[in-house]
Amino acid sequence: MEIHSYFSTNYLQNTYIINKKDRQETIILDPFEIEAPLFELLENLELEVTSVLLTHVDKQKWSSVQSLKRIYGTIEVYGGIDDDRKHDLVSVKELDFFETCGISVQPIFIPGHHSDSLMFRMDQFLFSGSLIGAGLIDKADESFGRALLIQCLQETFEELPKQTILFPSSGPPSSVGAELKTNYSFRHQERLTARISAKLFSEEISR
Amino acid sequence: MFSRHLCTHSGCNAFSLGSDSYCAVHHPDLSRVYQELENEVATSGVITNKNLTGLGFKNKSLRARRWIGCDFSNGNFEGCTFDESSLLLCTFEGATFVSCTFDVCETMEISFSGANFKDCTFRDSKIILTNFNGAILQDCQFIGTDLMYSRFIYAYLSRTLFEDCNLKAVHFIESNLGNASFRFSNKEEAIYDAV
Ligand SMILES: [Zn+2]
Repeated sequence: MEIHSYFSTNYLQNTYIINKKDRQETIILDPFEIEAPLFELLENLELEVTSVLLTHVDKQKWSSVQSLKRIYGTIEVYGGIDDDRKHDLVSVKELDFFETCGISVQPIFIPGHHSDSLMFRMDQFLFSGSLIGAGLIDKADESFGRALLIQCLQETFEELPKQTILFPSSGPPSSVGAELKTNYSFRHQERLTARISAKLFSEEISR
Repeated sequence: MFSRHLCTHSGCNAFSLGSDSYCAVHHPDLSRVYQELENEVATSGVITNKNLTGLGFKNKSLRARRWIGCDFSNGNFEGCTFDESSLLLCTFEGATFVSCTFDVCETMEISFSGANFKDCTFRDSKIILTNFNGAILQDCQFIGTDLMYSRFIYAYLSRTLFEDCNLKAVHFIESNLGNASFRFSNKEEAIYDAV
């Protein structure tokens, strides 16, 4: 398996190009922007996009998917949205594994943030989208969701091999082992949970 | 680039070195691995997709090369120079650097998480989107260096100088900056608290 990264200077986000060695068909993970340097990279690598993986569907990425379809024709799009009437997408949220471009992909649904938030594991690599970056966990909508997100991420990470390399949407790469040691949110989880419990308890009393 | 294979030694979970079948611990002939790398560095401008975890380098010139998708985790570097090199998508997790230089060097999407730096310099370099989380830096100097979007979360910086550096969106969350100096750097544009 080969991985290349593309950094969008407009959105400050990473897009990953993943292909099986010696195969032309390729996966694009989280295309934030379809612009000339990304195409140059794909052209230089002689790759053809046939598959898109989305760690979360938003307007920007969906617009990029449409641009890719106009260029490459038929593309399979994989994500975590259950109701796909609005989006022509294969929901893989409930699957243990699926295969695309000759690569076996494990989708990992993480609750607590968006209802379609997925991480994708391929071999010894984990693509975490915006859920977790080096040292930090994404903001969730409210404190319970955030505590749930942190707990689920921590439990997931504890089960993965420590040398699994982490490729997030924003910021530098890391590893599962490094995150368990140095992620601010994992280290502060107890304090956060305790704070939320205290808040919930005080709300109960004042009712 | 960036592909990995597990060591074929029974029960070993480490990645195998280079294009070989064994990791640094189980490799039957490490001297050949060093020799092959030396030949490649001597003859090639771009070194891609190499697993070099756990190897040691003393007084080696690794300068003026492009390193892409290489894994130097838990390596030992003493008196080595990466001057005028560019590094992309490489990892140096848990590596040790003593008296090494990264001058006029460009790094992007590199992890130095948990690494140990002693008496190292990063002069006139671009160290962008680079992960120094949990790293220990002692007597190091960043001079005229752009560190935009890099992270030093839970890092320990002792007698480390950031002079005339761009610190925009650099994360120093929970870092020990007690002995760090920031003269002529935009320290106020760095991030110190997790939101
Ligand atoms: Zn081994």
